[in-house]
Amino acid sequence: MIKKLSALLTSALLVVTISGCSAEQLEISDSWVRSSDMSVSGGMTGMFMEITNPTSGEITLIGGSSDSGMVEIHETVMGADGMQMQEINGGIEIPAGGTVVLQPGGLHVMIMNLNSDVVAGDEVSVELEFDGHPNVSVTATAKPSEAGDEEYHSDMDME
Amino acid sequence: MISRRGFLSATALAGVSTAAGASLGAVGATYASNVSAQTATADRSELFRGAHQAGIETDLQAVTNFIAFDLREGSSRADMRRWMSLITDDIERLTKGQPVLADPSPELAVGAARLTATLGFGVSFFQKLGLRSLMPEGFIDLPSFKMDKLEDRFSGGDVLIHVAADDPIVLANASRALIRDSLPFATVRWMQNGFAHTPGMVPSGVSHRNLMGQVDGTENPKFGSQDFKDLVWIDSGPEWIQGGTLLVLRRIAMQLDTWDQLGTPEKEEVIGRKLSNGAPLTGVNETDVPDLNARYPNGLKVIPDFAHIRRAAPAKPGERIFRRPFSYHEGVASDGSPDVGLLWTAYQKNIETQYLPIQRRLEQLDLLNEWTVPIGSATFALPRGVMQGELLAEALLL
Repeated sequence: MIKKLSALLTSALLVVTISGCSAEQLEISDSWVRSSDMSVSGGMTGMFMEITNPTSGEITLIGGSSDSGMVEIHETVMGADGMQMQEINGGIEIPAGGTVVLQPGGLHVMIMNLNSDVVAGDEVSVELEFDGHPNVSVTATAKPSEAGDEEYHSDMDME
Repeated sequence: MISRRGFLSATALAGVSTAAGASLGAVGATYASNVSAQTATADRSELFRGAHQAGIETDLQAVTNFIAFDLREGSSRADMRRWMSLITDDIERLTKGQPVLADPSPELAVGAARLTATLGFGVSFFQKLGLRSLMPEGFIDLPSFKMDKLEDRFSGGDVLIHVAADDPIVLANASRALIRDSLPFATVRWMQNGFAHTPGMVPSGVSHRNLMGQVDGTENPKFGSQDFKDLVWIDSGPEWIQGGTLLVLRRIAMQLDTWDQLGTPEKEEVIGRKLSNGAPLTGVNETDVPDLNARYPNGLKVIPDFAHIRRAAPAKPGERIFRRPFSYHEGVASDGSPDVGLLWTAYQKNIETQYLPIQRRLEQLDLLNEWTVPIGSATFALPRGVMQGELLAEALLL
């Protein structure tokens, strides 16, 4: 009985939330950038985050720009020489009501040709460009991380 | 206490059938209470943000790591701010039982388990960063005492992160995360791990039974009391330390082989307290105030001159400290002699006027010194708590 009531209350609240909010927006959380031996001036880093699309339409992350370097949207795929990162064709789709996780070893925002070193604790800002949604500015803190970094560890035997 | 869920499932199962009903009911109740105990330990959390750092006026957790760091050469205040930005976010997530950002093993975030991580700075931190003018009053490196046999591997340090939790896996994972995010700024000088009781073994609080058998932490000020505030929380001086406190950490080895050659009455005279419940030799309950003037009919003092609690008793008001002691057990020698002792802590406003006079008296005469040897020592200033939108120690590193 109590459970039913609280379920009713929850759905009532949901209705209020949705109808009370005229323009649903992308939610971006848990963003961070990687500081590593590669994230030096002229080098590169990856930015990672969770993107949630609470709207009823599909949204696609297609690119971005940053004062810190050149931005591309990348995926990690198995190539002839092991795991490789490459620009993703057509961007990253965030389905209506869905969440996409950008993480090491998977989808990520690549920042190349860095203008300066990105060291642990630094903040890096990127203006993300979407199809179906206005641009979103994300500022992320750099964390020391090696995970999912196969391409950098070229001496690692993946065979 | 039986939880409602435990009670209901036990009743339901007991009502199921005939001969097996009773035993099935018992099994059901045991399972249900196991689940609720598990949930309680995993879900219990301490607040990270507030006027004071967590992990001080906090009931003892089951396990702890004291981790000391040395700054990398040439470290600047800006480097320290970047370090604090990483570990402020880390600690906030860890206290909620969440993985830190960029956690390579997020599956290890299995619960909050009352995790706390408390930050402190050694005297050398202020010297290296040119911050000496912002040091709190009464914050000193300890002088050497005649019973000390200090080892570098347990002593000193520029920065302390004191982690504690009710679960050893949670503790290990949190320690790993905090060390990983500290390495760009510092190297690990030492880590000392310890333990108290598993939750539910004793009433919650800060007294625990140390490995000599004594109830430790009896004379502490009560949580939330004016007494606690007056003894522990700094309320003057530089802004960053107002709401903070000063920590003395001593690693005290216990000579259990010779200690156990004593009989119970001798052990009790060394301390001045009963081993059974921690009551003073002149009282009945742990909380009874020791009567230092009481004598036997033959004229001998009930609490002897050499007794630890007589020597540690304040000579004047305010000569008191807050203690939150953990035990350690590192292993055993081939002759069976255990490497055990205390990670002894004293929290206070002023080390010079609170800890030091007590320690001087214990240095002059304390029979307990026969069986306890300080082998590690460090002092740290613990900044005030972190308010919403702030970083740890932000006011110091501006």
